[in-house]
Amino acid sequence: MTMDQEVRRREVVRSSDSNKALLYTLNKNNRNYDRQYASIYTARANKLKPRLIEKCSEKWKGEKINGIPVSHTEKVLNISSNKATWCVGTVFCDLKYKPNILKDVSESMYGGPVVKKVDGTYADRESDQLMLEDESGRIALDGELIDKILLVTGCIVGVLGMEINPGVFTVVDIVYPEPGLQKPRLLSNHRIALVSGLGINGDNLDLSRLELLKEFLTGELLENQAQESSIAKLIIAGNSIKVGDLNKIHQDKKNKFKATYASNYNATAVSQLDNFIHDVIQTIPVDILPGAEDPAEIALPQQPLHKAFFNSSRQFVGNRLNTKTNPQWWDLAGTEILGTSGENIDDIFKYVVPNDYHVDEDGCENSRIKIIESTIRWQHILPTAPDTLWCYPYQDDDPFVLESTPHVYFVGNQARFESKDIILDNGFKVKLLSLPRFDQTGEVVILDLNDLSTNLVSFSV
Amino acid sequence: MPEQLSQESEAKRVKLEDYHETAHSIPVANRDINGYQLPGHQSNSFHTKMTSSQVDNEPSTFIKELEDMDNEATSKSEEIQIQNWSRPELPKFDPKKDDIIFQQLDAEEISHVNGHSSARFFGVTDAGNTVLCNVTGFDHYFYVGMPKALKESDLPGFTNYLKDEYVGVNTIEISFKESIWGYNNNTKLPFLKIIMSNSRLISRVRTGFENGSIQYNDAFPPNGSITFDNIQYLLRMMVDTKVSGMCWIKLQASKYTLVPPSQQVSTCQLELSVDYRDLVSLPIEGEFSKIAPLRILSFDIECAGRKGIFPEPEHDPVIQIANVVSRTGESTPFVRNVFTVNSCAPIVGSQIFSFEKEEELLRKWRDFIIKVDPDVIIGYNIANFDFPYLINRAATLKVQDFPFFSRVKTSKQEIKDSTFSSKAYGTRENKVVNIDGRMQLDLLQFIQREYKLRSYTLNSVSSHFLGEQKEDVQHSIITDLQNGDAETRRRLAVYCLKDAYLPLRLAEKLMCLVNYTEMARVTGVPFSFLLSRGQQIKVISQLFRKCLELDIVIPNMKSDSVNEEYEGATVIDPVRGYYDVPVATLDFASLYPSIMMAHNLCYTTLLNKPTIDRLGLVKDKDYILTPNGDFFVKEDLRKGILPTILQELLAARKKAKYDLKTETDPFKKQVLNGRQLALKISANSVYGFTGATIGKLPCLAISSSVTAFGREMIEATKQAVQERYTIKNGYDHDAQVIYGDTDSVMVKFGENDLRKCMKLGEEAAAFVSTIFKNPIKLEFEKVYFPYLLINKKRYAGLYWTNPDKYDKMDTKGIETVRRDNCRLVQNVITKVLEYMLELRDVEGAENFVKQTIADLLQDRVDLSQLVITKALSRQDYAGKQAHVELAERMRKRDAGSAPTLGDRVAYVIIKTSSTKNYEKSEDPLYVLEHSLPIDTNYYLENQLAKPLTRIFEPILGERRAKALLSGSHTRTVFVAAPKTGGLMRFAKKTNTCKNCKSPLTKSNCKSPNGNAALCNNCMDKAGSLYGEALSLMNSLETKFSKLWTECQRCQGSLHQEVLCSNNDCPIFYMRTKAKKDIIHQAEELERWNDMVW
Repeated sequence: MTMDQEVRRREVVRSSDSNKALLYTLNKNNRNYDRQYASIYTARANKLKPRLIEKCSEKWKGEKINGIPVSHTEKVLNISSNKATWCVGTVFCDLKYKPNILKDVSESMYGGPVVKKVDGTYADRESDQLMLEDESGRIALDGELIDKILLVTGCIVGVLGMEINPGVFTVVDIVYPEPGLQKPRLLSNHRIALVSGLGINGDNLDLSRLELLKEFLTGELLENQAQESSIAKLIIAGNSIKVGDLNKIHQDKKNKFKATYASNYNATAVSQLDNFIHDVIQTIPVDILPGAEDPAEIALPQQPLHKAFFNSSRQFVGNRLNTKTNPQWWDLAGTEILGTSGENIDDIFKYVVPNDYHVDEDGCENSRIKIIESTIRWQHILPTAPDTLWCYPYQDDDPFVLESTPHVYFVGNQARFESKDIILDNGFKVKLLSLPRFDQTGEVVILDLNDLSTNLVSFSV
Repeated sequence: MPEQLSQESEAKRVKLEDYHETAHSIPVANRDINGYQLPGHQSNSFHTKMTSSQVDNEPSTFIKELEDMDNEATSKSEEIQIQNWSRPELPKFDPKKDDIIFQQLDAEEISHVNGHSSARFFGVTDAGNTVLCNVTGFDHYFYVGMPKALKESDLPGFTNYLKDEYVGVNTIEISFKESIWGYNNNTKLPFLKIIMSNSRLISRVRTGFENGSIQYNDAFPPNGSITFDNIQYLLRMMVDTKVSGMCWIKLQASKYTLVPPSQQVSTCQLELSVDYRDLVSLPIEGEFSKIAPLRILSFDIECAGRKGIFPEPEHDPVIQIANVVSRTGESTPFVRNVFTVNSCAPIVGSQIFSFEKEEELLRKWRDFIIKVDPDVIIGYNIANFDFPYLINRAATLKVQDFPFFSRVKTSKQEIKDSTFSSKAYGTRENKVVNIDGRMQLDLLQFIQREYKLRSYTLNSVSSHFLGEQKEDVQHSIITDLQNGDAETRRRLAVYCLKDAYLPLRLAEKLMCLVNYTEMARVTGVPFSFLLSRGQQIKVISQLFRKCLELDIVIPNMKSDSVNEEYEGATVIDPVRGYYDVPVATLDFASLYPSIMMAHNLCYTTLLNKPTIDRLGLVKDKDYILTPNGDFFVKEDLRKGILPTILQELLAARKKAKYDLKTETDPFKKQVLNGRQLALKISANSVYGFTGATIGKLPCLAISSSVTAFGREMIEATKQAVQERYTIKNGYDHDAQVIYGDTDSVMVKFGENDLRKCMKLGEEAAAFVSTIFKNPIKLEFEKVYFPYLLINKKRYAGLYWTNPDKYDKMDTKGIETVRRDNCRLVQNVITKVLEYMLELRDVEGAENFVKQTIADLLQDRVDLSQLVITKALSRQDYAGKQAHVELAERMRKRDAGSAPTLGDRVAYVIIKTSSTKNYEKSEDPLYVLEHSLPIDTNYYLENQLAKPLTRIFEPILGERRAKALLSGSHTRTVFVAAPKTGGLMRFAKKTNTCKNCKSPLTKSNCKSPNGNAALCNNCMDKAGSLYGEALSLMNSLETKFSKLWTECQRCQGSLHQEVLCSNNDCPIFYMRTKAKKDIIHQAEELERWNDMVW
């Protein structure tokens, strides 16, 4: 899409909230892969820097060190040593185990040494380094505070501190961007059901839990008659399909020298999902988001699951069945909801767990609510894209910056259900929800749009 | 506790230095991660991060902290901030009482006012002070055999005669010497030692003797006499004073004089004179194996060239010079700075000096060099590019005071051309800039000399040795960056600084300084000779040193450059094949040196028939007859000088290796390792010296005899092994020698067990050694298992020295370094060998080859694998060459980005109507952009076929090996359709059904504009076909993202666009291809979205 179109669209989004639902829809027929990722970072900084500078000057305007007021340094590289100052920039984490295609390629070519790593983490306590960068350059960050708080590549923050050792800025205080505006919430007596990680596996024919869920939603479970009646919508937040590893490599039997790519498509699983949805939409409308395990484009924003997969429910698409992008915004009867299928949080998690850490030691593995909260504080739901999370190379735009603050923010496919109410600096309240994987827990979250209370319903056979 | 304190601050300091490095943003991404030092992360930080609440601002502690920081900072700031350039101050000393000890680095000959030659040494003391030491009183000389007709009483008269005829003759003495050439019953004969006052006048007198124009009482033969000891002044002086290159010199108190300040010619801190007789050369052992704290400067310049033209000093300005200075043995440089024309944004940890005018930049850089006073200047291609460019540029700008940055104030730096030919290195034309008192080490030259690589660009060299890719900025972009603002110039400066820093890291990694220092010490030549001269000078220096001890003189031989060929080393014909049993390798340790020692082969022991008869020598008692038919006397009559030198070298190596084992200090270990290496190389080069027909002292009798002995021994070993290890003699199998080459023999004992085979190998080595003369020794070193013997000098195998685990895969002569191959060949061969030898999976290897060929034919091989590179050296190639033609075509397209003289041209072979390869070459980027079809057949037949057949034939046989190249996997071919040119201009694109390939029209598909993916008949397969399309898209999206984020990381910035044009980088073309492919696939996906369901 051209820059003009892009700008126009953003303005439309701002002026009319109804279009927020299309915020993450990529322009048809006109995708552009010519721009480099630098463009996203620049756009991100342009959006968030003014919001930060405002807040920083406010918070630190009175601070004095040895009688001298702290000043603002506009560019990272202009920080002069031994002078207390604050500065705004993009965080960059230099981590040992980030995906490194250069290494992969070189290794497969030259047979280099294989780096030992624990799966699912980029971090290495010994060597990782945090930096702050802007268009002028980079400076390393350290200080006790840095050890305590969570920062990942791509978030834009303001830091107060001093360059003591050359090239290293010791941070003593940190500020996140001013939150985007939040609409006043309207009350509604509707309730919605949120589920993620259905994990329908074409090989596993035991669909009894799924059957129970369907009966629950369609009101066939009698004891829940009263409850179910007011569920207005089902949102399926990603990973509805789970293709086993054996199935993943799509092989052509006729020609074994043809190219092979990992595929998330499995005909049986897809039709099982189609049937499930077909049955549910007879009673309540369904919104479905794609996730990393679904047959959908992998790069974020993930575009809606394709109609081609819904043989029986195809006719309802756009009506009772809404295929959505991941992430997605909703305005449900005056409550603004933002949701993702969880890739954003999973990726950030990999920045935090050190390579030598045994994740199950103290259960930290199971709590992601802190990370979910952080993304709201950073006012960016996908900071690690495009660094470690694959994403469309937007031109002069970054739609993942929060220009407005949702009332509810849910993240799918997490280890367990968690919920937290946070109040931002300017008083905005956000309900954070971490949705469990259905295939592992059998749990569905019911959200009441009246008081935003949640109810966890669990199914087991 | 002051001691502890200082230790602590030392530790801190080290850490700070490391910070310097990390913060530099020079080596941020992709560097060895072990180099990092990090702020002490708490071990529970993960837990804290996951559980603690968001930041609460508590000003009370915060103010205090900042204040603490401030205090800490001021106490440290001075030592960190000010990069101290100057040398340590000279300690007070008394010339009457104090000795001066310094390491001599560079020596040069000077002509004094009074017409006498003298020399000077530049050096550095242990404390880091610089010394210039004038060596006076040494006169050059040479020898002529004293004719019988000339009596001792004639000497005064002859002296006067010679003095009258020739300027510069000083005195003539009679010495009793012996010529090195031929055994002469150990008789010393009288020689005339002609001593000259000035070395420059010596050759005329020498020629006078040699052509017979000097006559005195008809005593000299009319057609000329042989003269002896032709060696340049400097080396003569060093030989006579026993000073070797890079050794330590002691000047005893009161034996030297200080040069008064008014007469000092140099910028050295100490300038003094000493008579050559008072020069004490300290033996290179114990304390004096050390290396003085040398300052090493590495620098790089950037020029703002014009589009399409390689920078020329007459037109294009120098815009930046980056400098990095370190001390020997320290890992972090203590000076890092960049001199720039026009402003430049700051770079953390480095100083920036900006100047408005280029003239000022040059002048200030000169001042910087004098101030920082480096002992060694290194860089990449500085000898042929940076130095000449700077000097020529200064001349163009008329900065007259620029070319004076040596240690001698009045010496002007000038560029000279030097050509140097050597059998080992070929002919090289180099530029040489004299920088008196500073050693120069051009890493490019060093690496070209010492390593055989595919490519010698800084990119590929650093990726080879340091394992990292580097960002590369094309010269056409440099000018744009310079013309931008302070930020873009900063970007350039960072790049420049990186290029200045890399040579330093390379030098450290390759230990060039240490290894060359040891080589200079072992062979006795000045350091600078090692890069500027060939191999022979090293042997000559050793020979002269030994001869001096033994009163032997060396005739000045005219090199007639007769290209007499002699038979080389032998090779036992290989029994080709794939050996799935252990093959033991028996090696002769230092074969050629041992032969020379064992048989006493030397110039001084060489006999001819007349001498044998004259002296009545008895064969095998007094002398031997070599297999080549030459005669040499035995050791008891005369011990050869070469065997003596060799013995000393090998003994010294043994000692160095022993010391290496016991030494714990890592830097001293490096020194010792460098020494043992130098000793080994020196020992091996002696043989080559005797065989160098265009050399100083060729003696084919020696070299041919050596190889003849070698051949005989290899045969004898074969015989001995095959006779002893037989079933008849009680062994399990008959041993078979399957191959032998120069100094090793491969034996198949037939034994399957590695341990047993190793035992047999050891036993056999010991047994065979007994049949040879001491010190020739056969050693069992390794077992190859499995072993693939392809041909003479071509084999591969797993290399075992211990039976539990193999050490490595060893290959010889197999397509790995040949530069005219594309990378695909190298990678396929490596992989195939891995399959065969490591995994012992021949079928796997076959499948891999088939898959690769299928990939190649179906256009799935990454383009960087297919790129062939060649340097564009001269324009007047006789025949048409692919890369020259391409460069010409590229110039026509866009002069700005076309390769210029000296660049390496990268090209791929594409399908065209032409059959000539030189017309089929194309720029890889152009190929990607225009989707031009690769000539896959060329790659299959001209690149892959030969090496693959060679490897597979011994295993699979001819027929099956052929099938590899023509089986069913070669049937599917995908050819990229060009988007432009030719017929495509007239073609109309019609979509076809993804499934049945029938053309789509508005009527047979469900799309308003006919842009659908499927026809109506195939709609029921939509799900799975779309799934397939998605999987390809996903692999492309992942690739695209991984590639471009990697480049961002490598360049060290998220906010700046990637400019890098390093086409040596394995992902360079992949990047462009991924972009191209993803655009195409996104369009394909859209066809699905256009369908109405």
